Amino acid sequence: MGAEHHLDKIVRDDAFVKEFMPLMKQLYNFALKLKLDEDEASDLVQESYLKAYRFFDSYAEGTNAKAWMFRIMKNTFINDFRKKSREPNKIDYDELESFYNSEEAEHKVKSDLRIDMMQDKLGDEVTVALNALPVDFRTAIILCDIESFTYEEMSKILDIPIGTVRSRLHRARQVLKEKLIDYAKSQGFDTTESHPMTNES
Amino acid sequence: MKAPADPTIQTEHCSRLPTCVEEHHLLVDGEATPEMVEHYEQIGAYCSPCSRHFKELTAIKSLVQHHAKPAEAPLQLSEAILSKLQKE
Repeated sequence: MGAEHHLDKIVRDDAFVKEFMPLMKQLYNFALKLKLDEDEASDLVQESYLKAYRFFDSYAEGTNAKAWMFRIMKNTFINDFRKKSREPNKIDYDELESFYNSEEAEHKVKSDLRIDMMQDKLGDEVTVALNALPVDFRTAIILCDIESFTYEEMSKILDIPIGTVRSRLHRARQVLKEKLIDYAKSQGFDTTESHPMTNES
Repeated sequence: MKAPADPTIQTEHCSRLPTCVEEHHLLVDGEATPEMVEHYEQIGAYCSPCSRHFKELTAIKSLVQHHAKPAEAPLQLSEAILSKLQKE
């Protein structure tokens, strides 16, 4: 019985690794955008994989593995955040307020030392602009524009209505446009309006 | 190519502009209906505020897609994950 159980575990582990380990880099990048800190991002990725492994039996093979893992990571991130809110000495109140009020405030996450360090290290205008977004907006942009999830997939990952997905994308892009439109022009993107052509007789 | 016959849809005061702005997001995300695509191709592309907004939106999305640098995961992360899974 022991040997059979051991064999079952090997088969199960192989299936899990084959299905989910190829997603590690994408998950790490998502975690990095959520945490803005490399060590915390690594911790979040590890914790997410552990949870995914424990709930592997609830995963239907052949379905959307990437969306499933991203949802687990999102939930793990939120649970960690709420857990820290019960330990008031350990939370950043400014960041908590920004996270919960991003739909109303539409303001940048207040800078702290970690964000400053990340910006200096990366030195890329687009990354800087992305990291300055409130986390709800940043998440929507990453899932849509970088990870290419559909609105429906994003709705399931984030557990929000599709209308809210659209609203967050719309508002996030408005903020990004204000920050990046000049940079876009300097990079050669055509942002000029088309001129209506006169009717030919 | 001929511009649409109704010149009022090509001005900043076009009453459809808010609707078009919403549809532009759907267009760049591949979520637009065929009717929305056709509307933009036949009318929106010739409308000054619409074409400007659509191009700006396309530029921002392209910037994010191509310039946001993906980070390399730490070398030991994969091993750390597998090690923890083995202990489960």
